[in-house]
Amino acid sequence: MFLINCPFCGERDQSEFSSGGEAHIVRPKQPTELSDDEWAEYLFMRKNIKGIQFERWNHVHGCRKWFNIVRDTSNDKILSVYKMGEKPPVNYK
Amino acid sequence: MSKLEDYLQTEWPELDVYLTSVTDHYSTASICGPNSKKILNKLFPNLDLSDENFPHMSFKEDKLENINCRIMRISFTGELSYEINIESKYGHSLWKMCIEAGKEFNLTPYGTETMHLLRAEKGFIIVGQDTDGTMTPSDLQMDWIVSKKKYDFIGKRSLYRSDTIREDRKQLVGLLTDDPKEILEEGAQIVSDVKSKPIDMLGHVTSSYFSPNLNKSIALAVVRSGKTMKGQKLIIPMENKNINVTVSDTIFLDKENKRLNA
Amino acid sequence: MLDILHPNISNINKNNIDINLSEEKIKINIRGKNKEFFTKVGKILSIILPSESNTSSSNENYDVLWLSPDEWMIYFDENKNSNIFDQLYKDISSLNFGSITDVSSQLICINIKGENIFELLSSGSPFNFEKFKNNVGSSTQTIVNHIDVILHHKSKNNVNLFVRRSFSEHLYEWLVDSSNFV
Ligand SMILES: [Zn+2]
Repeated sequence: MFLINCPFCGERDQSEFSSGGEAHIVRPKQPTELSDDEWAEYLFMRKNIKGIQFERWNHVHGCRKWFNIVRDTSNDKILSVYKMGEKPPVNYK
Repeated sequence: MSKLEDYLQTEWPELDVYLTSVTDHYSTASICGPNSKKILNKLFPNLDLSDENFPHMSFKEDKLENINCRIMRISFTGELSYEINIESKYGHSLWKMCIEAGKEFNLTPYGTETMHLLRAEKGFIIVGQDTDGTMTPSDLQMDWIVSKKKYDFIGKRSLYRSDTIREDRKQLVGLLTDDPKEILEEGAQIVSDVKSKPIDMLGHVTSSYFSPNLNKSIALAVVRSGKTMKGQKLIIPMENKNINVTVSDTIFLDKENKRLNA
Repeated sequence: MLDILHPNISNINKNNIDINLSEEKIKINIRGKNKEFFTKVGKILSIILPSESNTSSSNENYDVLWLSPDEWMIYFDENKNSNIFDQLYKDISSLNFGSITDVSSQLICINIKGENIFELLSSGSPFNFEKFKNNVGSSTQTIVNHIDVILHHKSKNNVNLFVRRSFSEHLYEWLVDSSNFV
């Protein structure tokens, strides 16, 4: 269990949120132009790393807004929270 | 709705769209059967229920007393059916009015088991029971539902991945037991040969009932290359016996949809 | 002939907790972002929408709860201003300035008052009520006994809880039962 600082509602318990997996995967503009391998890369491939990961979360039992976090998966420390559409913080690249 | 909210906020935030759930704001009563038009006419005397004005798969708005209702002509039982939506605080009242109006036609409440049997006779699937997340409309022999005109929609590209166009995917079929009294177990495995080891598993039974309308056992199943197997004999191996079945069409009753327009 | 069926929620009073069904409340969900939206709402309701999270605005007719940066819920007694939905809908939804949705039957309002109510709510919720209970006018969405709720701190130790109709009787039973343990 950990706390997440929703960019809209403030600090809330993790149980109010749902995780949406890896962040910054952009849906291809023209899926019909892609090969099977390129489409599979978008659809299935996720990094799932031990360490610093960029993730999508949804405050599903609160304001229902999606946002991004930077989380160290090895110790569940949340290093940064930022809104959808905002650029990921560069210092964790 | 959470999937829609996800796409709206993260992929297409520029769209001028808001999503608000009204699931609990409405109650629905469904009236099914050849007399449903007559009952609906008693509840909504000003509504033109003719097939020209109110065909299958369309909806109308009207009032019950002074309360707004949405009325859909849609069917999950295969019978001529209407679904009435009303603000949920009036749901119980709507129910009582339907029962009252239906008395002279022997209207009776029916439960979900009845509904599931009736829809299986028609080969209507239950998503999650007859399908899982891997099945495509084509696997279900429902290619007609997919738009051929749209440049893109969610899931379109995945419909022609090399894996999704394989001919030997599991596909929806009907099964008829050689002994019409024998009812298959849902989830039972389907094979064509019990002698060779290991036994090659072709699929499984997804829905199974005894149909009083047809006086025989019917089942839906997903079977590898099932689309091309109509008439073929298959085997359902059970603990103490092997059950012989024949692959059939998925629609067991009223193929011509006569009942929908009764 | 069309009579209303309310959820089976009766008045309970124990351990300084008073639980009541607030039957006749209109609830309207409103969504919008642009200038026209805020102007129209302000004009029709004579109220400024709260822009700060977890807060509300009230006047003699309406309570407006912040739900998200572009979403609010208005609620008020049924016998007041019964045509306000139509007015909002006509001036906002119809003109595409935002979205107005009647959720009166979607949500049941359960009024909970008394000294021990925040202990009761805390016992089934991950939400930290410290700030909430000291600030009349606070509002929040959270979970109570695994059920989504909207809470409004209407006056001191007096909370209006909004819950989906289909969950309302179950949550009420939980509230009554849990009142024994605070
Ligand atoms: Zn939030």
